[in-house]
Amino acid sequence: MNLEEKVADYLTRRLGAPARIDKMKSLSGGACQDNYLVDLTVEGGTEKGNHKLVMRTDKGASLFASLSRVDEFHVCDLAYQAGVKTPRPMWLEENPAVLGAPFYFMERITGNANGRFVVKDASIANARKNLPAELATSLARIHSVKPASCKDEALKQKLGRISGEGKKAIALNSVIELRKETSKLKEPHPALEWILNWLEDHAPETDEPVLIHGDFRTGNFMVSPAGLEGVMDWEFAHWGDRHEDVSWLCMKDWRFGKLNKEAGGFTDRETFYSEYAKASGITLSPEKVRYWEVMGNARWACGSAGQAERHLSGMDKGIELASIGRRSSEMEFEAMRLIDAV
Amino acid sequence: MQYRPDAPSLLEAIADFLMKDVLPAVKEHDALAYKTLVSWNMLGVVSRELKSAEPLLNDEIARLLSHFKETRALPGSIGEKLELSRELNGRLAEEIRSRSGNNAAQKELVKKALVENLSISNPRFGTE
Repeated sequence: MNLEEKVADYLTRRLGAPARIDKMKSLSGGACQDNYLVDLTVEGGTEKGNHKLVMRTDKGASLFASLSRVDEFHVCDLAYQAGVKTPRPMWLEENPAVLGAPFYFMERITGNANGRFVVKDASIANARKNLPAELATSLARIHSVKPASCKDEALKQKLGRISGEGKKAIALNSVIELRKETSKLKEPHPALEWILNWLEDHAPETDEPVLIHGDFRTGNFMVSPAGLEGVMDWEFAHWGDRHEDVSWLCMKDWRFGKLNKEAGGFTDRETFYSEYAKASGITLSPEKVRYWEVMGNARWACGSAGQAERHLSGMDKGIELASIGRRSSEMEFEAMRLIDAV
Repeated sequence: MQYRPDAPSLLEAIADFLMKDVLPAVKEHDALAYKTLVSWNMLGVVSRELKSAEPLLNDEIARLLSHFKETRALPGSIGEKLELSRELNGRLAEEIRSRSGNNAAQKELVKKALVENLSISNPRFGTE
């Protein structure tokens, strides 16, 4: 059986009614997963009707601290249940024997996530005006998920450590993780080492650990002329400080040329912070955002260097991975600039 | 000796080809157009590196040697210079990690190195 037949066969069994694949094609994947577009007709049972879906499968490789497809499905479900605008997770299969790796289906949403489209395209000029409020609302709902509200004990553990020495544990654990990743790089990065020391010395307290999306930025949410269609890419979710997600959205690298719109290239920080306060009831600390933005830039500097290593190792060759290694210095410089911007 | 055109002129010819011929032909394909721009951009990196990597490397080695209070003759070939700068940067990274040495002096060294790095990898980044 080919992949399409295997999927139809599996869904027919799973849904208890004939399932027909009307269309299936491979979409651009990531380093850790393959994505397929699937149009499905189910001819009976509780899921009777047409479904426009995306199927995600594990690829084997895993990036620094990224979740497996199985864990990603469960996180996505937690977020969906909390009212986050995100594609509805549908069916998960954990048994690798079915397709060779675990996989799941989710609802396929419309729109475009391309960063340059989101910050510049005229067709979504009106939608862009509502983006700060819509995104801040979804972010506040992500952050409404707390370790205590996660009933799945195994998942709770996989989303990271929340214990440690007092209220600085979240920040200090992040520094430890990042030191570990930095030490794996094949060339010296004295700037990163200097930034890591600063991060260790200036660790802020976290008021309350919450669910962090982990890659909340322009490029990872779909927008259409109707507005925000959905937040995607949950593979870096973990327990953390809410300021981490806010700072990642504001990083210079995710503004796609609209440098003066510091929040994601579509609005200014003050607007986004105030929409977040409206949606969550919590006032953000600009000082903590700055700290986590230094952390974010350091993490992305290390990540970029790591992407170049993937290219050089021959594991995953490509012009984008090759070019990104040279960009590590941009994030290091930005981190140092933020440190001085008191 | 190699005949004309020299390496920078060849790079310029490839860059022109990418922008004037390839990009308009692939502009409907987002991923290809993006990769064309990335390629064009990398040609710029290579071209700047050919021009100014060596003098910058000489300066960096001199700064690091002076930081470690060492005198060593500058090696002759660019390959040996790269190796030496990697060794010295490795020592600086280790010194910072182990929190020995002067923090402010280390900060100045790494900032200076980043400014020089960006003058080749992305001069439009804005380091002022």
